[in-house]
Amino acid sequence: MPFVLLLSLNLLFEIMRLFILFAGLFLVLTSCNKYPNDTSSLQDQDLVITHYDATVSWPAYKTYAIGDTVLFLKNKAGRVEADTGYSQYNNRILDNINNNMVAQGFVRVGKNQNPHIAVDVTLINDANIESYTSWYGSSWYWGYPSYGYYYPWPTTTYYKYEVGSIQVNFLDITRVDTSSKRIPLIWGSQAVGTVSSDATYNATRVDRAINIMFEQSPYLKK
Amino acid sequence: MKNIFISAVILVASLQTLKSQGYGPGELSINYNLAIPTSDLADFTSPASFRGLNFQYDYFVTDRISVGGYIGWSGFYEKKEAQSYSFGEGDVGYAINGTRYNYFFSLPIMLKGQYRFIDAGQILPYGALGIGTYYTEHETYIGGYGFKDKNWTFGIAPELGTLLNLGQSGWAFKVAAVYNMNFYNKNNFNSATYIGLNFGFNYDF
Repeated sequence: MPFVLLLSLNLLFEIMRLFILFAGLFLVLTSCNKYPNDTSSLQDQDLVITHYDATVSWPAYKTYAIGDTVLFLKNKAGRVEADTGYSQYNNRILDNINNNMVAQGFVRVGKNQNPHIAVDVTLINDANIESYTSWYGSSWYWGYPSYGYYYPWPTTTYYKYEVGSIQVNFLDITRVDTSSKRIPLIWGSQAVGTVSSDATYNATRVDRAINIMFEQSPYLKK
Repeated sequence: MKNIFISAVILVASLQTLKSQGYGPGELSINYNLAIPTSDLADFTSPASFRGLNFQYDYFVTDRISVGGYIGWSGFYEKKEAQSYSFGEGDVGYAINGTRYNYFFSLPIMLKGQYRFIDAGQILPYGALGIGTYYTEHETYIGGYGFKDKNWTFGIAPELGTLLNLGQSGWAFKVAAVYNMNFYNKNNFNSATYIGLNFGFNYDF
């Protein structure tokens, strides 16, 4: 049987050589550049996130009221940061939202005319926002002073706190919880990083982002 | 039992005949790999991958049959223009709009059996089957959100190809088409399949 032994050794050496070869190649391969480099523009970084309560009957919401200003978020110290120039887009943002709401079939009413939905618009002008618990609430505006807001679902909500982001929230003021003093947020949409330091591009970005908020919410259409 | 052992030894011994063509039982090849995604992978990253390489080793146990293996990689990438994606989690619905960047990296490590249809001449066509594993890195990003997942999955890879001998030098051009069947059934994929086209050099030693 020496021939068989020799044969086995031969095979063993071949396998060992193969193993060493492949181990070396593995190192070479994993260090290679896997993908081509991509080029991304400012617009490629834009993001519009919408989340909504999927349990409510959306056709039942017919009227809305909206404030006449865009709010700012509080920072960690609990203060509202000074306007750093973003407020010049207030009217553009609000007009865009109103146009889209009407196009979806909602009827705008005054805040004292029992609207189904109260629309809050917030602009994040401070990067040091802790979480949405520090929302600069407008509950006083809607007639519920010292009330808080809550999402009627337990899962994590996706947010980014980038300076310049526009946040639009729908408060369901037909279902205010007076015992716990809370108002449910049934729809929220955020345009991340939409208002930037690039002034020439800002206007078109605002228009585009707010249109997308509504385009990607087909259940709002009456 | 003893008879089976003896038969096996005789079988192995009889396989150990030198190839009538070439220099030795071993062959090495290095190949550029162009990959065309199919099925779920084509939905994820539709463009062909021009980034790929593989290294192969074949040990001929007869004139026509070899066993060996290979390791390689292909990197698929696609930047998808901004569009909305909807999904739901329980009682909450989500939609997200942005430019999406998809990446799929596939690294097969295969054992390979090969059969040469012709065992002598300048053109040596063959059929082969690889069985092994694919290491994958699956990534997608939109805005700053995304995920990266690494996996090892089972796969098989049937292959058709040919060698074009460069005289008696031991070197040959190698051209092959490999159907990579990576049974990657994760992250909304049923499988990750792609056709690899190999262009390379083969050295017989």
